[in-house]
Amino acid sequence: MEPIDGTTGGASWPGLASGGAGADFSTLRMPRLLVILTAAFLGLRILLTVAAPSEAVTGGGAIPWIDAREFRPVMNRGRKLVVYEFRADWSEPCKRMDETTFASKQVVQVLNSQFVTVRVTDRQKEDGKNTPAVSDLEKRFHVSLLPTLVITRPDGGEVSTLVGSTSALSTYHFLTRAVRSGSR
Amino acid sequence: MNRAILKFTAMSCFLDRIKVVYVIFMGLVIPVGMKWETLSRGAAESQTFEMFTGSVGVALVLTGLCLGAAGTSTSRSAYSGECLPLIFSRPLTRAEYVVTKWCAIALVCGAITALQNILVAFVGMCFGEVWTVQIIGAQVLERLLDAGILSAAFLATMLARNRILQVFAMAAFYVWLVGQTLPPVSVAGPNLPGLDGVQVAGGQMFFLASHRIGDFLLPGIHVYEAMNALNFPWIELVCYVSTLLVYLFAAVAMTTRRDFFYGTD
Amino acid sequence: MQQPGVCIEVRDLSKSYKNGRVQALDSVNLAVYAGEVLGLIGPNGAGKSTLFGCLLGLLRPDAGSVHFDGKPVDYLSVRRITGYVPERPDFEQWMTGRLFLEYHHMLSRCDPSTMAATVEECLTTVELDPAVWGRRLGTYSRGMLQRLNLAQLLVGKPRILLLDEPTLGLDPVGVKIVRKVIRSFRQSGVTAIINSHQLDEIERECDRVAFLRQGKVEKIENLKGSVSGPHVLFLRWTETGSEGQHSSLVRSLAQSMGVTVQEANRSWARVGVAGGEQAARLIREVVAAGVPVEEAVAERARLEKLFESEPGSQGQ
Repeated sequence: MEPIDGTTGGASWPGLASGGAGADFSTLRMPRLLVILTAAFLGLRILLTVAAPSEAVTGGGAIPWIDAREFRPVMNRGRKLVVYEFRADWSEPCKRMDETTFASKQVVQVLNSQFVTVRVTDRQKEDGKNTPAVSDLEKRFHVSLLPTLVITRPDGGEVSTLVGSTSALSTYHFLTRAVRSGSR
Repeated sequence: MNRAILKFTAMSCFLDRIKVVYVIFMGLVIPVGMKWETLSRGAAESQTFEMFTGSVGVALVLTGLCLGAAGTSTSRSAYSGECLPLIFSRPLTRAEYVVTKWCAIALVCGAITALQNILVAFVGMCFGEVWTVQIIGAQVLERLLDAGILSAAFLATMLARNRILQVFAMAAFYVWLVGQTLPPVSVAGPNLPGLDGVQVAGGQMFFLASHRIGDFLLPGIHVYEAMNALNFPWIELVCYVSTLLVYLFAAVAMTTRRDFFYGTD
Repeated sequence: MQQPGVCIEVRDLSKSYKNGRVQALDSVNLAVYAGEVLGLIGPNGAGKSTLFGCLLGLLRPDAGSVHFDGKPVDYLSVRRITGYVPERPDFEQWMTGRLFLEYHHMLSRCDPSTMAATVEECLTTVELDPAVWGRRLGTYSRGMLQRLNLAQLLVGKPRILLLDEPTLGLDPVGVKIVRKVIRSFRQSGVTAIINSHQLDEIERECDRVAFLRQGKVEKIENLKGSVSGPHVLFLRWTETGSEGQHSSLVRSLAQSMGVTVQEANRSWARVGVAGGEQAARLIREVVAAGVPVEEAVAERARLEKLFESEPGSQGQ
């Protein structure tokens, strides 16, 4: 039976309505670019992970934390606001906050310029009880959850509290808000 | 990139009434409302709020949109031969379909949550918060990136016909999601005896698991930090891009499988 | 290599599921010529949907090949000229009829400037009420959706058509439209394969019919063209008298020619003839004997008979 529509058995492919001539290939073809990029980035990732094994990004070193046991109000010569960070060594949220929030340039900057930073480490799990300085501070500010940030004025009056591991941006806003309201 | 799929997937997100209501409510009204409320009370933002304005917010919008948009024209397969999809009888490659679907969903989701972030910033500014163009721009970019990786993960999961893999993926997703909503706190005090102690330890482990899953399966990029860092965090960028590409590659590979359109293999 | 004039070529196609436990297709060989309409019939579970899946490039066969005009079916160029009417299409509830066709027009990579005109033309061809063109698909009835299904076939202006139960869910008016559409593309010389349980529409519209059972092509019937070989001739005449003298005349004439009379009545008879020539001779003699013949037609082998035959019967 002769083909009615003029095809010549595969030699010529009749023009399409849109005239969309172009390369012809299988619809199941995996794009080469995708394969190459995926392989390249995976390789790069493995390389970087192996070459630079987890450098502890603890920007905590950029902040001059004063240990609670040593802190005296007289150290606050600049009459700055005081921020107490209540934390524990075993606490995952605290570690998280160290890695992210206290490594953030914004947060580090505002802490260093506007605050006296005091670190209160709860050691009830490790030692069974806290030192008097720590337990006094915990009682004074009613701290039961960690991490908690408490901001006080130079005279000791409480300004605000932030409970829980918080993102860098929110912590930054918390600190700047305290600076604005605390300076009134 | 297939214009038809791009156009009509985006349309499906906005022309489906139920989806629109859900998205506006979860994606815009709640977060902006929460921001306004907390600031007018002078309180600190809660972690729940953070959740809504971050990658979890993107995930919530995505689940609402995806339960329809991505499932289009991939067949049901109650038993072999039940339903052959119409769309793949058209001249488009599987790769084109997958990548275009991903783009459309990611753009819509990212745009909605980016808008939400902008509104939240605006509310913040009304209350005196410091929001620079750089910070806002960084937030917008972060939401788009979050949307990119979440959409790719969703798509790869939905196109994988392997039940076990899907269950595992959904479980990982829920652990991540729940972990984000748990109060990120530890209880100060000595080791609690018995069941309480186990509970506390369990909570800690869940928190850790959630964040590890998030870091590995759904990495993000802290754009603002990256912009201001002394050393650009290359590893973060490479992790993100490589995970994204793996998801896309997997999604395309799934659709080109021998019997993608049938439940039996 | 590919035979000349063959548009769709299926060679030794085999497909199984569940690691070989279910053999859906077993060495199927089929050749559809350009401009031909092939009907596909068979009992449920015969493998027709699997065959369609392979023809559309959606399923990869275990063995064998499918080529359209010499090219593998999963190629872009083949997809461009293929049209498909699925048995159970997936419609988006939020789309309107017009949007749905626009979507498929865009997907078919047709010229965007012709989109509005083509969409309206297709909607008119399937006789969908213009009032519903702008309504959401969630409000469409089953029949309307099937008409839309048919319309999407036409929108891409395909050259090769695959129709899976095109009349499913349609009322008689709808079935008429399907027939109209099939006839129109027969005139324009496109090639088609139609899978249908509606045997009478197959008989009318198809050139050949392939009978599929348990994954094998058992028989291919030629429905059009001259009938060679033995077949049944149906004769009908006007019986004026009450004695039935025409009937006995026809019977005696048939017997004298050596033609077996299978069934006879007052005004009609079914006779088994050896071929076209004998049939023509019998008709001439009957007419010459004064019988007022009204109808003389060759009966094709009824398609239902294929279903009744023993499984595993020899193919033609």
